[in-house]
Amino acid sequence: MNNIGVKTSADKSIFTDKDHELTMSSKFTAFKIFKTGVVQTDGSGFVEVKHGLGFTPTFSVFRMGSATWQETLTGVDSNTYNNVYFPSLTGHHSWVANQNLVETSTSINSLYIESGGANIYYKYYIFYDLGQFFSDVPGSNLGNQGLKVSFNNKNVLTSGDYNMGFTSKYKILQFNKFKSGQTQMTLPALKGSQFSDPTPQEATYLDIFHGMGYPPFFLAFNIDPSYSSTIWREIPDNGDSAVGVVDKVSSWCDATRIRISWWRKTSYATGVSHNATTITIKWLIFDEDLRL
Amino acid sequence: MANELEWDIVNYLDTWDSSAGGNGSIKAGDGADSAVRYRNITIAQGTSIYSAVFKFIVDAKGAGSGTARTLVYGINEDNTADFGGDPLGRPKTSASTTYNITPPAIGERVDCTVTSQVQAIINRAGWVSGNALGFIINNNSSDANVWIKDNFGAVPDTYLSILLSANPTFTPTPISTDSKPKSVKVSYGIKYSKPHKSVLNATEADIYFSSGKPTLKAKFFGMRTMTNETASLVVHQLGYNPIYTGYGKPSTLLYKLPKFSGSFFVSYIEADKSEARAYSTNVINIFYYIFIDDLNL
Repeated sequence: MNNIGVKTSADKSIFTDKDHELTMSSKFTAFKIFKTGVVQTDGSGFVEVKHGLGFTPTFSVFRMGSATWQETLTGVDSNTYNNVYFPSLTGHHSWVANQNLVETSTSINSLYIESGGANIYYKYYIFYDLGQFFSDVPGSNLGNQGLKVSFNNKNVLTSGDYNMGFTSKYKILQFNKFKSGQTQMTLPALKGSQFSDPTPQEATYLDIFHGMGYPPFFLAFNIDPSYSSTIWREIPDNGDSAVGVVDKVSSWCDATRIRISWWRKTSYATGVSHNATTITIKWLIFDEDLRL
Repeated sequence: MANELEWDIVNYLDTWDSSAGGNGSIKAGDGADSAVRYRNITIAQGTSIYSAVFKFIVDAKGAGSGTARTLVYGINEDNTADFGGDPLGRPKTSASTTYNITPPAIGERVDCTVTSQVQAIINRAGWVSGNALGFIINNNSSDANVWIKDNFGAVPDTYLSILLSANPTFTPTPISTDSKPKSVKVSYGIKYSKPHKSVLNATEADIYFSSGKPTLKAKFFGMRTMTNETASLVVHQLGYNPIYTGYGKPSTLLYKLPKFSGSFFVSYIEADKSEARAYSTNVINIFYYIFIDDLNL
């Protein structure tokens, strides 16, 4: 990085750190929390949160509720976990019934949550970061209190806050480097038998006991060598879902753990089988408390 | 059970029931001798057989009480022919199974292990993958009017199930791991707190920023209109796998990705060490944030 702007480092020299080793650099935008809270869907399973930003922002939503194993495969986990948070809940999920899946979206005015279930609680984050074409954004100077550093070629006095690499006006989403990590899960080969078990399933799960004492905002990714040995995909991941052949990586968290499960199914009729596979899971735990 | 290779009876000429005078059924017990044949056994010569089970589907049974006692042999031939004529005199394997049956309800199944018989046939020098193999069921002093019968025609009829290796557990033991302890708070660097909260004693929740904790730093962000099923978002060439996130916008609403169901479209983003790509079932705008932060923590 050139010596313009502000950068910080946690335990190394800012003069020698590479950009990705810095804890913050005003050269790069960070997700800035504009608004956060908990809302409940109405009787039709819908709720709207007005943000008034005048542009379409990025966001994140966690569904709140209970986690119970939903697949027909037995012997995985018969428990129900309460006070659980599910991230990015679209597509089939191994711990929540399909009718409770959610579509979340934002417009220039509001965040919308549409769920198959009524009276369900959601924790939402609306970021002061753009989710629309960047030249379309109405510029607005939102005040000169605190500390802010703009991007190159952007006037810090007149640019909108989305053009700030750093601003003290909003809480920055920061992750806990020491709590984040990776591990692997393995499932054996699976092939349908014509008569006795034409649609077999298999599953396992990983519990990360995070020790945060509260349910934390988290991100998780997986790499599946049966799909690609170089490509990471965000969890929840519905993988390759040819008819009758399904591969799902699902996740949720509570005050004790982050659980990531992996479930696969195949069908004799398709002639497709799963090879024995080991996937790698990486997770980032943020200090953000989902309860607040 | 999963991973089993299974073969059904595909032709009535692959069944023989001495009590019925020939083809069309197989019977175990009460004075009957039977034979059954399975075609196109796609197992290479000499392959080790972990288990083979003959799964008798009961279509009818005798009214007597007691036990149907039989002995089950393999037909010791390289590629046994169909039962256009009486097959009961064909050579038999030395291996046999004592198959004593208390007849169950109609529609249920009674299994008979024939691993040694199948192994003996597969081991024959003249065996070739795709050949047919068969079994002879000899009555062995069954109780009067105690028998079970499978009439050819249902799917499946009595079928043969083979495993070439032991099945693993399909619900492996879950893994658990503890995160490392939190780092000790230090009093250097930069931090600022929520308005009206003292930065000196603010809780973690009220700290808006701390230079001691990493921030996701977006190096590449922008929009790409999907015109094909897969599109390159950015060739980042970072040389490592970056953290990323993205959104899809078919019209005026922006949806968080990955999105695997629901209205409008299915879409997700993926990234490797040089490129981030998007996949979508529809023409939409993808808004992406590729962070400079390395997934290899």
